[in-house]
Amino acid sequence: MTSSNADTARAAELAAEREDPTYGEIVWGQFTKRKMAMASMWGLVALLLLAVYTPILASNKPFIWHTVADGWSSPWLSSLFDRNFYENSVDIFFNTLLVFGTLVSIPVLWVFHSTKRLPRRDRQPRRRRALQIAVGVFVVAFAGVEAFPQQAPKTVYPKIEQALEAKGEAVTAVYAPLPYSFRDGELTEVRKPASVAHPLGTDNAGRDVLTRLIYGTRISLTVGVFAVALYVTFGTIVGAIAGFYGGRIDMAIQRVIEVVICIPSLFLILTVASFIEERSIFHIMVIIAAVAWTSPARLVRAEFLRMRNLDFVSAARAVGYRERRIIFQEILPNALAPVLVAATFGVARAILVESTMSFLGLGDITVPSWGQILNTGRTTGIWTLILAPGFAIFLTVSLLNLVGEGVRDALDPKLRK
Amino acid sequence: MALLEVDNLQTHFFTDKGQLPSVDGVSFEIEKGETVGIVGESGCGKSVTAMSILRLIPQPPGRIVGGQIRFKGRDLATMPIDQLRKVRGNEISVIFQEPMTSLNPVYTVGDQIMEAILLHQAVEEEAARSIALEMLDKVGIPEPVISIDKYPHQMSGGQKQRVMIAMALSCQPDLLIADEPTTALDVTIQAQILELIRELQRTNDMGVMLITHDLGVVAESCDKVVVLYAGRVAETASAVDLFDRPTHPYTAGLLQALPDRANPGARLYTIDGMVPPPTDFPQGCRFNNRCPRATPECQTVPPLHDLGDGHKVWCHHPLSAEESAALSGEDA
Repeated sequence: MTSSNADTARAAELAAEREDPTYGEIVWGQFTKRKMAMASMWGLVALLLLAVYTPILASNKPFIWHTVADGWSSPWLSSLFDRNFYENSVDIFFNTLLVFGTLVSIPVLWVFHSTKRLPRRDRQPRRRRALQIAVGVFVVAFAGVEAFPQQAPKTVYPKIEQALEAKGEAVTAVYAPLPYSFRDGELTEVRKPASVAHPLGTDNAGRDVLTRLIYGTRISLTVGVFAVALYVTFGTIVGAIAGFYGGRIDMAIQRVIEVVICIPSLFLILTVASFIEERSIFHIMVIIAAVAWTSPARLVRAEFLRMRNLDFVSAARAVGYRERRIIFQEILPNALAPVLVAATFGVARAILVESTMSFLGLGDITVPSWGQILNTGRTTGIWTLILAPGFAIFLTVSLLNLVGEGVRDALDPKLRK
Repeated sequence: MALLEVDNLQTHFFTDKGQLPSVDGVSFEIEKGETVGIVGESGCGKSVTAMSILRLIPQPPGRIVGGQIRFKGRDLATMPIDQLRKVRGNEISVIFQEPMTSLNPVYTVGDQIMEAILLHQAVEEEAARSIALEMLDKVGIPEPVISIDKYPHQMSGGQKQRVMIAMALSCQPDLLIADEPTTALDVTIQAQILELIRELQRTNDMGVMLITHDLGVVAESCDKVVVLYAGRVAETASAVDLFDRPTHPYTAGLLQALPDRANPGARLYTIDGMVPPPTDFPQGCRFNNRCPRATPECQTVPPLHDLGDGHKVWCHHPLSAEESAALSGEDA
């Protein structure tokens, strides 16, 4: 019995070894051969981890707080979902990722590891199911956190020395490496130059620049990814419909696209932005998406025009599929490669646009985005406020462009290595 | 009642060059269990006829402007699209000419066959998978259990065509439309594929519409032949009759053009010229500008000669019985 089990396991392993690679595996294999692109991708992964685990690096709430009067508590943990502390949904989102994302990623990684040697047919459904459950748990958690906002009264936790002096009693506290808030400055610390306590100095409101910069990673990545997701989805649907149906529908959509392209996008963005009085970061994303959807629409349309008369589309009709299914399940998966490349470059562009808007004073002034910090630097003339976010923008945009180039080359069969 | 009755089908294309009558009054019938060959040169309207039956003509520019396509008594030409979808793939299946591009590159062949089964039959996914495995085995794919999870690019052209056939036959259709199913394949595979279709036809009593320009294929596998020329039927007869007694000058020309085993080294006969594009089909008999027997009379629409047993010819100057006999004798 045991030996036959071992035999089947061995047979499955053999089957897994001689499997031919899928298209995705070929593209991934090509991508991994490009060193620059791989390094950039790991750089982006590091940025993403930085964005998720920001509060561990920088928070003015102590991880552990103990006094004789208060007892033991973790102000840091309870602040994560506190609406009075993190006002912005972007931060709440990343904090949810920090807590629940970390929790669900452990079983997911375990499933991926344990199915490594299974043949594709057994491996794929299990991995897909694990991912679905993980995403489901995360979405439920985020929805719950958003639906029931916690609002604790504002408490200021002083530094240990100050606490000792004030109360004259024993205090145990563990702080983050950067024990500062990205929002509330200390008036005694205004315009301090770089020091051990403030590696990049402080700004005109006494806020630690490095802390704001790290929190800015969250904002910039969110703007990039969400704005692009928004306009790629919309543009893809519009382009698919135009390319598939052709004729008058295509004609009408093409004219609309041309009109949108005609308008210089930066001026349109600035004009629209100046009409919205209380600009949140989500307004910025929608505005960016509203002018950028034309390029994926045109890419997808071109692919559909090329493919709609191929035999496999006629074959899909001959099998009796509905048009919606033919568009979105038969043709669209074949048309997404150029969109993927455009999207990678689009993230970099969206980050730049947001920085431009913030720099010009048309961004969301409540968030510590890189453009916002840059703008403060411009008005106050503090040089770290200009160099630091400038370098962060440069680094992120460069990484994204290098990854985009890697994806583009990996998808191009003529550039196979 | 025949399984499929195509009656005076007219499919025209509306382009910048005007209205092109690619198929202009084609009629034929297919009975249950019968194989009907549609033959003709490139551009004579074979594929357009086939695609018109399931309304797969890209529209615009193409449109069925007249005629009826009665399948089991229902007119497919005017049927609402959601009813037609239930006929497609379920009662009538199509095998396309190009096996290389007929399968969707992003799904495994198993997924594609299973989806077709799940769409038309009330079965669970596991049952659909076992039907797919059975079909792949029937069409002679080696190791179905492994092949079912392969992507199209991992298969050869002949294997893909077999997969297409498996997919087309998985719902046990009453009619199979095979649009040059063997043109893209080499000769040994050709014979296997045709034999496979014949075998499955026998078990399911399925009607087959076989489109080809290969008269060898016709002689081998068809019961009845429809010779198309420039969007019209030139001659229709049983396969035996057509080879014994070709009566339309065009059919005669096609048979004469076959390589002759009796006289190796002799020059091949050709019909002068090419099928004219639909923009300049001649008046009257559309073959008149290439026909060796053409007279001024041929500028008018040719009359029908019924030679009995379903042998019909549309021509002003059909070959006489002696001429036909001489031709087929020479051929043999």
